[in-house]
Amino acid sequence: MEDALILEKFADTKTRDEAFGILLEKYQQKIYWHVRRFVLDHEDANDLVQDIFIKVWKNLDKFRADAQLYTWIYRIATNECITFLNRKKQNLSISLDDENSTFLADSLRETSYFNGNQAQLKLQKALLTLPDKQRLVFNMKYFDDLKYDDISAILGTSVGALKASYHLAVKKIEKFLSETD
Amino acid sequence: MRNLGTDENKKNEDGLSPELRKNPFSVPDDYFYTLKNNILLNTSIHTLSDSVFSTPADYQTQLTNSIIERIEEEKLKARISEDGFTVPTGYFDNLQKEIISQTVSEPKVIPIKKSKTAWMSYAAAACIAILISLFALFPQTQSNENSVANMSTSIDALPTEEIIDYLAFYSETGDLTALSDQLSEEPTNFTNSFSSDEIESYLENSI
Repeated sequence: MEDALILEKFADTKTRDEAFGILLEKYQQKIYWHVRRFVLDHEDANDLVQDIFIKVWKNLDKFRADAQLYTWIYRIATNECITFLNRKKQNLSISLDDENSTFLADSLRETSYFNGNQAQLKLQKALLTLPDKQRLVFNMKYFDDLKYDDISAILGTSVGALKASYHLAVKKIEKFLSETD
Repeated sequence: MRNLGTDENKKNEDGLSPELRKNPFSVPDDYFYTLKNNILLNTSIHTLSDSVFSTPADYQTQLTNSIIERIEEEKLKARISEDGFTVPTGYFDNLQKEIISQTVSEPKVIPIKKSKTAWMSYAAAACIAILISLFALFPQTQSNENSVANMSTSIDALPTEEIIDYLAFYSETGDLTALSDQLSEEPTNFTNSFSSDEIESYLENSI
């Protein structure tokens, strides 16, 4: 169903629940994987995804159609993820000036929901060496195949900066993979 | 080649008939007139296209770099295309139900913490008031010896009858303790002052 129709149904109290169910059906997996690739742990991702969609439900009537619905949802999800990681860093007494999240490598080892091979594991470790925002850009482009314009709307960063960030990320990852071979 | 005459029958120096020099090819009617116009038309189209379509400065270099970067990305994807993460069986089916259950009209929540806090603060205030009143009535004996001394002096100054009347009407144990501490000496002939019946009557009434 088109987003405009979802919004129209949501605006009507009689069809609100139905509209929200359709929205969940349409976006929950995409948002889940977006979150999961960032926080790595399934339980953390599960909690975050639920919080995200509760926020969507509470604020959808205030959503202005000047942006795309899915970029708006992605934006909420991204902000929640960054807040979550910053909170985790504070709990672990890690300085917020540390832009990457190498501490997540532990949850990568511990999580039972990772069936990747050695190469995939190495890629995830390589990603953790990137600054969080650069990792986000990489994930959205590489795995989610989002367009730069959409990523720009989600992160509030220019397309040019995103392109540079992404290609630098690719180079860093290749270097990491070749050095650890 | 030297032309040895206009006589077509004569052979030129090459030994070839001059007739062979005639151009055997022909063109359509008015060809050269239309050719000129066609050439002029094509040049004007090129001129127009040059002015309408342009590229950013240094575009070709940027394009080359972009293509190389895309190739690098494709090489990485050919090597590792998936992230390796999985989810529990049936996770997404349950996730939707769980989220929707949290969005069902929330019952009015009375914040327990707030009322607990309010009750506790009232209780705390009452305790403090009681403590203050106790301290006011029973000043610490350790704290200020002068005030204790003053109190014993003032109690000694009270007539015995007043003390007895006070104790008859106010049965605070603490008072009794404090007063007994302030008594300078116990009367040695206490037991001899009262009869057995009087003592028995006292005990019956005070218990």
